[in-house]
Amino acid sequence: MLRVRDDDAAAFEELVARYQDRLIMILAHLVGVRHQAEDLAQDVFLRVYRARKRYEPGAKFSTWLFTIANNVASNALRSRSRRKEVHVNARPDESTAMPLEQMAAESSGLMPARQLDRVERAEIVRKAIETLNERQRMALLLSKFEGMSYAEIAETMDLSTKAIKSLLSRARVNLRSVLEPYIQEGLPPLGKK
Amino acid sequence: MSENEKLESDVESPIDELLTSYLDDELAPDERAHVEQRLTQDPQFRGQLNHMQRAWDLLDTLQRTEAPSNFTQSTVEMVAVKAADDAQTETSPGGKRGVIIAMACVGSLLAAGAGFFAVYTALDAPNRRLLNDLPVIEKLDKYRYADSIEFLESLESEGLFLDEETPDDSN
Repeated sequence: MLRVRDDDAAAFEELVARYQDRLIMILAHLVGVRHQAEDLAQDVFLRVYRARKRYEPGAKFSTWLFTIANNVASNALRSRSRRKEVHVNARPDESTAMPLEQMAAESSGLMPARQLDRVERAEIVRKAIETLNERQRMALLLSKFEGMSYAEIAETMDLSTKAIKSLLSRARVNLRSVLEPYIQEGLPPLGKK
Repeated sequence: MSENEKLESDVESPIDELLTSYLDDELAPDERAHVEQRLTQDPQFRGQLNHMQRAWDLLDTLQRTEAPSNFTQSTVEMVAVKAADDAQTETSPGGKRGVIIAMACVGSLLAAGAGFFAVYTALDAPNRRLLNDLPVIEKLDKYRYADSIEFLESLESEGLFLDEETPDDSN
C-alpha cells in the first residue's frame, strides 16, 4: 500500500489482484447480489486509490480496506432501501435458491430424505446469513473469513469492542437457531476456522 | 443512548456471549480456564458449545468467490480513467474560475470607470461653466454700466483690464 501511496501503478494492480476475491465475497454476502458486489468492489478500489495519500504506514491495510467496504455496502443498502427495490435473483448461482423453510423441511424429514449436496448446503448457509441484520452479517463475515479479532472488527465498523462481542454473540445464536435442523440431522462438521 | 451502548446492552444470554468469546479466542486466560473447567463438568453447557461450533463450521460450505478473469484489468483501467477525470476536474475548474474572476474584475473596473465618468460629466458641466464665467460674474456690477459687449471688448483689447486681472491671476 505504501507503494500505491507513492503512485506505483503496478503496485495498485497487485493490490487489486490480491484482495479482489475476498472483497467480492464479503460484499456479495452483504448486499446479496453478486454482480452488484463486483461493482461495489470496484468502487471500493477506486476509493482506496483516491484516499491513498491519507494511508498511514502503521495502519493494517485489510482493516482500512474493509472499513471502506463497510461504508460502501451500507450506502448501497440504504440506497436500495430508499428505492424499495425488489431483489430478484438473476444469476444461475443465485436463482437456484429455494426458501430456507422449504430446505429445512426437506432436510428434517417432511420431504423424502436425501443427502444434501455441497451446493445445496452452501445455499442454505447463504440464506441463513441473509437472515442476520447488516451489522451482525458484517461482523460475522470479518470474523469468519478475514479472521479479524474483535478489536479489528470494532475498528473496521467504528464500534466498541464490547459492541462487537455482543453483535457476534447474537449472530452466532441466530445462525445456530436457523441452522438447527441441519445440526440435528447430523451433518458432519466441515472443519474449523 | 449511543449505538455502542445499545449494542452492548443487547445481550440475550450471557452464556452465549461467553461461549462466543471462547470460540473466538477472545477470553482472558482466567476466563478461558473457567469455561474449560465448566465444560468438563456441565454436559448442557458442553452441548450448547457444540451446537454453536457446528453452526459456525457450516459456514465453511460457502463457495469461495472468485472475481471474473478480467476484473483486475477492468478495475485498474476504470480507476485510471477516473483518476484522469479527477485530475482534469481539479485543474479545469480552477482555470475557469481564474478566468471568470479576472473577467469579473475587468468588468467591475470598466463599470466603475464608466460610472465615474458619467457622474463626473453630469455633475461637472454646470460647475465648469460657472468656473469659466467667474471673472464676468465677479465684475457683473461694473459691466452693467457699459452699453454693449462690443464696447467692453474694445476696452479689453486696449489693455484696460490688465491691471485688474493680474492680482486675480496671482490668487
